[in-house]
Amino acid sequence: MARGEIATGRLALLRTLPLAGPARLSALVVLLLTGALLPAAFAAATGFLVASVPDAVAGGFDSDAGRTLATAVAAVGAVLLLERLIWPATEVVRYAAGRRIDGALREQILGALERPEGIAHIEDPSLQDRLGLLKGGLFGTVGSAAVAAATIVSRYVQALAAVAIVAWFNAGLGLLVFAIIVVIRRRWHRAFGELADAIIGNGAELRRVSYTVDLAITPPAAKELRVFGLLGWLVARAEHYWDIAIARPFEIRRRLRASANVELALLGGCYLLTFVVVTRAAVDDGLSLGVVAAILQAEFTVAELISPSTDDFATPAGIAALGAIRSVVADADAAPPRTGTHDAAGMPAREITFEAVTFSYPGSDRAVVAGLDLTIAAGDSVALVGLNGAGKTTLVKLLTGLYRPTSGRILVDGVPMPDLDMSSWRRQVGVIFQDFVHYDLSLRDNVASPASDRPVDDGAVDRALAMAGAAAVAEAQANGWDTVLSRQYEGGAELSGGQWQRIALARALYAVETGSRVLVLDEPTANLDVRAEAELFDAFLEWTAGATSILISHRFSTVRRAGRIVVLADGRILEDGSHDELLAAGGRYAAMFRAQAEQFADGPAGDGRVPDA
Amino acid sequence: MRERLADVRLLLGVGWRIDRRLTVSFLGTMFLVSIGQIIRALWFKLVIDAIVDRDLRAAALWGGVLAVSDAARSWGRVHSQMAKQDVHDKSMHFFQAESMRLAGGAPTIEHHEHAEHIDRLAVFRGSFSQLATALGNVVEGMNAVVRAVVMFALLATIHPVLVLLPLFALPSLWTARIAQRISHEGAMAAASRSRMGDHLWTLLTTPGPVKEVRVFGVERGLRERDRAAWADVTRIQTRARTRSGAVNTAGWFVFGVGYVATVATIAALAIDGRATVGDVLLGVVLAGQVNWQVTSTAALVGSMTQTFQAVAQYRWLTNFAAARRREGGALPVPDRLRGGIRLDDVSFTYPGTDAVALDHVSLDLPAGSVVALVGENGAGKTTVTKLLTGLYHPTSGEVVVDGTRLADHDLDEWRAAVAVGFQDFVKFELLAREVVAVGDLPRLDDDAAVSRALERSGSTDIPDTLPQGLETQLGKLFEGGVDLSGGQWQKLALGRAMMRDAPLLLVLDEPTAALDAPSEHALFQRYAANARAIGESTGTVTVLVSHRFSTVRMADRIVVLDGGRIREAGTHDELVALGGLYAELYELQAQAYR
Repeated sequence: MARGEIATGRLALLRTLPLAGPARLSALVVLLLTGALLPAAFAAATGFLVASVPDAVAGGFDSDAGRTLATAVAAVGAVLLLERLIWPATEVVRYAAGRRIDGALREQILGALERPEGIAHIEDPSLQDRLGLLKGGLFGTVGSAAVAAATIVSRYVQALAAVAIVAWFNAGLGLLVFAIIVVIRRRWHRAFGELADAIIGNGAELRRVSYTVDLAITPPAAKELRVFGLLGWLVARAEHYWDIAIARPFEIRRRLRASANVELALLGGCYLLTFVVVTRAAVDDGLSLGVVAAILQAEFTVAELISPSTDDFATPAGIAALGAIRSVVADADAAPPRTGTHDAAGMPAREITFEAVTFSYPGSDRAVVAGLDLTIAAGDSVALVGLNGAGKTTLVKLLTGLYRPTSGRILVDGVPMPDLDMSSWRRQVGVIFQDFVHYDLSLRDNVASPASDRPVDDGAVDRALAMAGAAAVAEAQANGWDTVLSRQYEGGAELSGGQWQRIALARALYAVETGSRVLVLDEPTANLDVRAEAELFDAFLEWTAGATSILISHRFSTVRRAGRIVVLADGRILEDGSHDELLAAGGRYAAMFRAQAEQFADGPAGDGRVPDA
Repeated sequence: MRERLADVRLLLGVGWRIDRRLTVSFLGTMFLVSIGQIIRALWFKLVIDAIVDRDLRAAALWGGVLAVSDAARSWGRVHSQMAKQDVHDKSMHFFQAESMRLAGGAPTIEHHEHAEHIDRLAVFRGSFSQLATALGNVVEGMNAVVRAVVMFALLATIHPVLVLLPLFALPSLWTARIAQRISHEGAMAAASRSRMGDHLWTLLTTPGPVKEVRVFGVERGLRERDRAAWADVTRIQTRARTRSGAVNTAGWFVFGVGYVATVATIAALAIDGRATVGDVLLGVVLAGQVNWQVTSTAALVGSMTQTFQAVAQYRWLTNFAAARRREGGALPVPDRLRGGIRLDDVSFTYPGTDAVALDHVSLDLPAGSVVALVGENGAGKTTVTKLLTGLYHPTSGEVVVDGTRLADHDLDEWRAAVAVGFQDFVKFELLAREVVAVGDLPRLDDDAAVSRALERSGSTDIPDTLPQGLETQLGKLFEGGVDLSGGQWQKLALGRAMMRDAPLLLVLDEPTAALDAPSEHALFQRYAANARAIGESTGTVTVLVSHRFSTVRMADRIVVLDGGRIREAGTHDELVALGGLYAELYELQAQAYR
């Protein structure tokens, strides 16, 4: 980070301070300013005390001088106590203000991410890198950096107050001290910028280290680590990336030490000059002892100020994080917003049509969907079959408006998708995704989905649970439907993979129960065993009565129950028809099905060898 | 106390091991800073006294000493801060590497599956940053002691009674403990709300969940919950910090009274002619330092508590690993199996649980055979594979390899002769080549071996779909990483299991759950041929766990497990004829294909 960037960046950080709210911001300013003036006040009070001792010695306790001395003692004590009071109060206000700022920025980000119609801006791989900066890690968050920047400003005030005492005695000397403070501080700032850059810049290596360490010490890789004997290799790898990661910070710190030698020699010279001038003035010209004491104490304050503090480390990282926030918000604002206004309630009444739809993910040339023409009549039950990577899940994303086709269009009852009010259209669709969400929320919220604008229909939850075969799961929970489905929370419960699958099914069925007209099931039985799968699909037709259903699966046992089967390959339709029609046609589907069926053929398995297809 | 000293010794020992020059210079510069801070008051006093005596030479001398001392302290501070960060980085790495060796080096995996151990390991994982700052904290603690001694000595030179001043600081040590407890309780109280906030943030900002969040239209609902969680954490924490700050301040006010009394005492001594003006100054400055000293010591006590907790976690792991160092077992593993592998009356209970996972199971796995394990979830299939690969030792009974107990063999050697494809395989975020080749590390860079493994696992198509072929970074964690579908990941995991050319034991635990029908069919045709080919030359035993009966029926022998016991065993035809559990499950699946 160049010096200019730090200057403008620090300004940008300071500008976020009003997000803390007027009360916290003014409290922060008052406390920081008072805190900044106290060291100078202590120096002055010390001077006052020292100055009043000789007269008091001459006059004794009961003289005016004695009383002045008592006042001076009280003044020193008061300053010290005030400092003790201000410090903890400042800490609390710093925390509260920083949290408020971070909270406000968090809402800005989430609000911006929500505005676009689709999710391309969220699936953009660089988003995670940028959001990663916000967590703060080593240096804290933007909010804490903003507060740190304010504190640095207050430190300059503190320095000015101390310098004022020196300047009061000798303006030239004061100026010299101030100049040295500014020179040294500026160099520090640059160095911290470099260090922060180095530490942010080696994020990739540090992530690799941390990933490699986790492979060795966390459960998921424990078995393969041992069976394949990977430990030594992983340790060497962690070492390798670590060495790369820390090389630059080490080098920067080495240089800093070297340059600090020069600067601090300069500072030492300045001290020497001051002290010689001051003591000379005191001995020869009768400069008041109090002034001498105040100046020597003020110089102490200066020494404290020029040293690097944690605030200095916090700002560059905060500047980088703030930049990340700005770019995330800008990217989200550049994505197509939700513009459609056509209310989709009651749709589809006739059909959903894909017209010559082609789609590639942003930044990729590969067409996942290539010139697809497909019409799904309302109330139909369609199964999509295809080879892995045949774009089945992508079709679901297109159908729900999470992405727009690269070319071609999708129509619902003849209305082009971009014209639909997306929220109302999505309410017409109930989906169980292959990687469905495990909400760390109550079982009820997991079934009804945690929406805020729709009250939960307990009757529908009950029916959905029953249909998905999850009623028993719900009954087994200590707090019934209010049980949080995660052990990480008090009273929470952990479900098995199969139980979760049923909850997710219930979630999609709840949507249908409460008005969705399209049911999309993406590999809904992947985590269920044979018996459970068979039971579930016996009820399949019952669930989908009246709704349009789209089923994605590679299990024939599941697929063949659909009235219509669409076989996809290379992003387009290869075959289309009922199970019997496709078998009769003798195409790809028939070949795949027969290959499976043959293995279940009756008759002797003989030596157990797989028959040649 | 003795434990604490042992911890300090341990940490200094770490410093010595990672970089002794650095550690020494860290100690030295820290010491310079500490002493400089206190001794400054003495030079200050000497300057003032010299001025009062109108002794220019002495005043200039002590003024010079003061200047040099201040500059040296600033110099030391910069150097010690830089050294502290160097030490931080180096100890961080030391502890990371050590914990990898300790946690990853234990031969069995009970610490990864035992709830209590999992929790402790997770806590330990979170304590790296504590451990990395531990040495710095200890050095600061040592310095605090040195500072205190110097300070007492200086105060005593003014008047012996002043040694009592620190007594006024005792209440603030006590209040600091209370304050520490209040903030700790605040942090604990906020933790679950904070976790909720993290969870909601993840749902709203990561690609996987956000699809569903959008389609179900719950963005608003989640954001409202997130806002509430964030506000709760702020409220709880602000309250706790305010209270702990107030408690601390109360303690400091007691000290403030002592401070004013001290300064007044010295002033009175001065009026009596028993103290100089310089002494008054020394008192004012030093007494102020006592306060600062107590404050920072209290803060240090807080962070030292955490430091020692982190060290305790490290010691736990060290002891844990030491207790599990491999016992027995040095017999070499044979080149080929002649008889086979046998489970001899094996029972097994997972540590920390009561449920018996395997209950007196005896099972023959003849050399060269393919044995399938069938059963419903929790029947004990995966447990059998864990015992065969030495990831656990049986609670009772023995695993026997060609007539010799597995426990008597060298475990590392045995594992080098085993290949496994796990159901919960690891999605290694490495290069595609490495993802496969770690199945046989010595051949990490052997492209031909990787190609052969991909061929055996029917995954030769995968490199073609990747932008840089086998040299493509996989996963989403790292830049340029390509994420694969579940089926593609599984194919690579299968390739990894096929890396070793002629293992004595090959375990395939649900290896094709995420594959589509043609892939699975093709795979097993090829696999069956290969298994028998290598089975003939090395006597390889293949153990197959599957829910798919199309796969299972091709095994030479099928073992049906139920509740940790063998319920049925035989060939496919025998079991179908038997009309038991196997026949029932098979029929269920076969229906789909009629």
